[in-house]
Amino acid sequence: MTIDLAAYRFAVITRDIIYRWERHQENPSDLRFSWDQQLDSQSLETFFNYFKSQVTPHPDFNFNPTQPEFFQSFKDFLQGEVIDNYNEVVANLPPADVMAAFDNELARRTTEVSAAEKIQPTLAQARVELFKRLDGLVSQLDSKTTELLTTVSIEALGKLDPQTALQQTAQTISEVSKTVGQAASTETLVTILESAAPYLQQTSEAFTAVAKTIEDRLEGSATQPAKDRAARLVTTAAFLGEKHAPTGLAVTPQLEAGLITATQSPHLASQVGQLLADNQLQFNQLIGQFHRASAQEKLFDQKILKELSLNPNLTGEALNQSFQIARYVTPFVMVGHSLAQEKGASSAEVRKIDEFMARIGYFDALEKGYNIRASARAAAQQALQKFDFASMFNSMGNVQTFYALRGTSSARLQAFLTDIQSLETSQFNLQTITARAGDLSLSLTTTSGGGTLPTTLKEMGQQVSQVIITNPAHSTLVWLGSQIRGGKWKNVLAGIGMGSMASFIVNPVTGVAAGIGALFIPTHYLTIESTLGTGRKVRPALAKVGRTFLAVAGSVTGVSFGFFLLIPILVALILFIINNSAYIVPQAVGTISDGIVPGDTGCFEFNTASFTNPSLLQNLIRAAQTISTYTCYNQKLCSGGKITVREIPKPVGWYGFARFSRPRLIEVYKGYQPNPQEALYTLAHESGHVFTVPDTYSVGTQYASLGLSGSDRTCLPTYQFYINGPADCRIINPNNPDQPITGQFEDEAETIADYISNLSLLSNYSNHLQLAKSIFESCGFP
Amino acid sequence: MKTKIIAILVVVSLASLVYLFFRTRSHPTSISPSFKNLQVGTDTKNDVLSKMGSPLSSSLSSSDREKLDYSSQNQYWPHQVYIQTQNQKATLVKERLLHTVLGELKNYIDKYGPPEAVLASNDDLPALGFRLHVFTAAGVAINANPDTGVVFEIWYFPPMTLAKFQTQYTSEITTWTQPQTF
Repeated sequence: MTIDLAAYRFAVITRDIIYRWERHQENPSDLRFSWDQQLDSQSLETFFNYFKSQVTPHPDFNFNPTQPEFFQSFKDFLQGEVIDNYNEVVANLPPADVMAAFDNELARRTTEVSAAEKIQPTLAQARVELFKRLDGLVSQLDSKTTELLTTVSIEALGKLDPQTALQQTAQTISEVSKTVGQAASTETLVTILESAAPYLQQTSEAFTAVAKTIEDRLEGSATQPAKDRAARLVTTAAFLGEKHAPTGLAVTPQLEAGLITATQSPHLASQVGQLLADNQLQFNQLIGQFHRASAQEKLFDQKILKELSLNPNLTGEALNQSFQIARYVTPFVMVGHSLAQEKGASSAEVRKIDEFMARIGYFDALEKGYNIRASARAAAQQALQKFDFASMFNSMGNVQTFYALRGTSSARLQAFLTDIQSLETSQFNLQTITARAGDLSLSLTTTSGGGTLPTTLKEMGQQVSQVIITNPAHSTLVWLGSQIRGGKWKNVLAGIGMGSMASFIVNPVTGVAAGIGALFIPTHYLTIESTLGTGRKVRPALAKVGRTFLAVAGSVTGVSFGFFLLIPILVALILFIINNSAYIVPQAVGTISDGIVPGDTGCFEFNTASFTNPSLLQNLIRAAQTISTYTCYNQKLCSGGKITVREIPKPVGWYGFARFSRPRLIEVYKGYQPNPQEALYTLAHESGHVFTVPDTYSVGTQYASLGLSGSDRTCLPTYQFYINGPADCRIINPNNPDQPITGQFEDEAETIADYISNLSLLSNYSNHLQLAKSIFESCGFP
Repeated sequence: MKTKIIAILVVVSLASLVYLFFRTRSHPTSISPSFKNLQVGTDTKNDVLSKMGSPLSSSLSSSDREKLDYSSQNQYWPHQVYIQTQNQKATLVKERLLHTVLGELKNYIDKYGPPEAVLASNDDLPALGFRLHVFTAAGVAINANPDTGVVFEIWYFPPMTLAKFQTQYTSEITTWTQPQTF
């Protein structure tokens, strides 16, 4: 019996769940290892059923989560029958020409983005020129015209695109200056601008409403430009959605062009008034929808809070947590809910989908580092179950707009829009990707007997496969289509499931939801430098793909249907690769904090002036505080003096998020946006290098003496840059790229990192654990 | 009397200085290395088996060299005796110490002088910080961490030139540049 990758991956996921149960049994008050008997047992049962029905040999015992013996038997089964019997397979990568074609397609988009970016340096010059022109022109314009121009510039264009407002105004004034000498022309201009004024005011209100919602939802660290861009994106997407709305309204091409390519359109400033007048009906509808959605959102919050308040078991922090998680998972639930309704699902089926999507939302919260108690999660779920989504949808009349607002409120959008670099550097994402892919695949597998959920997901897949198959000109699409037709649809579908919201872009009815849904795809899903075991050949190409997509997403000029359309395909492609080549490490749970907590950072000294990202600094300081609580390690680590931590631009040719340099310098790369748990992992890993160079405490000797060296070696899987995976344990030799060398110094550092940040995984590697214990539990010399 | 005492003190002091000078400068360039009474380069495989008994295992380490594993303090790192298949003579011995004593390398440098070369063994040890300090004239190489002086193993071989050492044991050594850590 050959254990396939899916079984192996699910086994590792399941084993981690059991680890969590074990840790919970040891110390129920340790919130890192919470356990909800009902919910977590359900998850475990899902996996158990998978192994019972899909994997040979089957477990020869029954599911009984109330008996400790069951957990031990299940763990033994997973380890002995599945994990240990798994033989790593060669990555099933797309053919080189497929990758090349996809790369070329995105290279074209990169060029477009680059061209748009080149405009930016000219803005400063444009600004100077504008003021010069204004100086020269103001005296020639009457006060009313000047006032209107000012209004256009600041209140309208400034909200549309602050960076290019002045440039646009300069163009307008330039046009005005040609006719300013003629009273009639001036009068015409004034008339146009006057007629536009009410609409501009409405535009302003719309943006204010959206921006406020975004501000309410985005984390405090969101920058104003990010909020502005998010607001603009939502509004633009809403316009686009209206274009395809069933009401039959149409957005004129000029308006669409003006809104989408405001930075390039010379028409916007001078023609926006007329364009809006031409589309008054739909514009008013849009604004109305935003207002209704905003009101509904408040109503939702009130209802959920009321529902939670009725729960006598919830007080204080637990109540707050329940409220936060309910709000967090709502967008997920709403998507599934509305889709199920559209498909005519029964109420029981809708409820099932709600629960499923809530679970995905909860995973998402965990990934972000939220540490939500199981009790709070259960309470939130209970409250959501009582909430009547249908009535809310009906009263609002446009669930997509509501979802657009909710979706855009995701903090991920902030990262999506503001920092392309984060794509390259988020290393923990793979585990979430694979976990979710696995979860979805599992759901598809285990529930394929019936029900709405697999049907819905399958329909999503069919829609995307339709796109794929009907675009024969693109070899990437052809290849993915062949995978679907060749029976590997589950792998592709797992990716499509992840990008399912985006896939609905092909359905005009859900245009807005699809557009925003595309944005809602976590940036993590595009983090393909994390794709383990795929080799160097593919990794840079995929990384470029990811960067390109973010670049496109971050640029309003690049937002188009083609862009949205490619996202699910990209995600499918990436997840297909991951499904066939990578492996998983268990998910870690972190905590969130609103600020830097005073505390001992041990010997870590932060060069605060070097940091451009306060959040990064904050998370690293918290990480240092955590590391310093490991008394013996901290004592030994600090015996060599202080460790300087600073931020630098990522050097060319370096991987990862940070580096260590002799003697005691840790440099974290600009653009790295870790959550607290990721920051802890990274700093702990780099501290491991500091600890072993010089190797004052003979970690190297201990490492070797434990048999971690030699032909039987296997390195910890959490480290991502072994070119052929952790079992091979080799990294690129910079002096001879054709001859990789052992990277066991990374494994030493990783042992330290995992002890601090991923102990449950480390517990499965007994020799590594023993090494870690000698480091962490002995304050003296070995 | 006083002059005599001074003269004696001067002589004794000078003698002490001369002794100390030669003690630190001189090193046994022709010491024949020995491990478990083995005479590397001289003893045959039969001699090895006679002195050390049956190995834990034996294997071909290269086309012209057989490797005999003998138990050491550590199960993963046995002592190793290499036999030249052509003449059946012991050509290299690796004594696995796995010490964790700081500064131990200095003892060998004090004894043999500065190493003629610092190379790297062709296994995982360089990645763990160990470098092969070669004293070719003494027929000894110390695989130790240069930062801490912790000694992992000692190689014994017949005294020879560095060029010959690098040629003869080319399959056992490598050049190692610490790669980037990230």
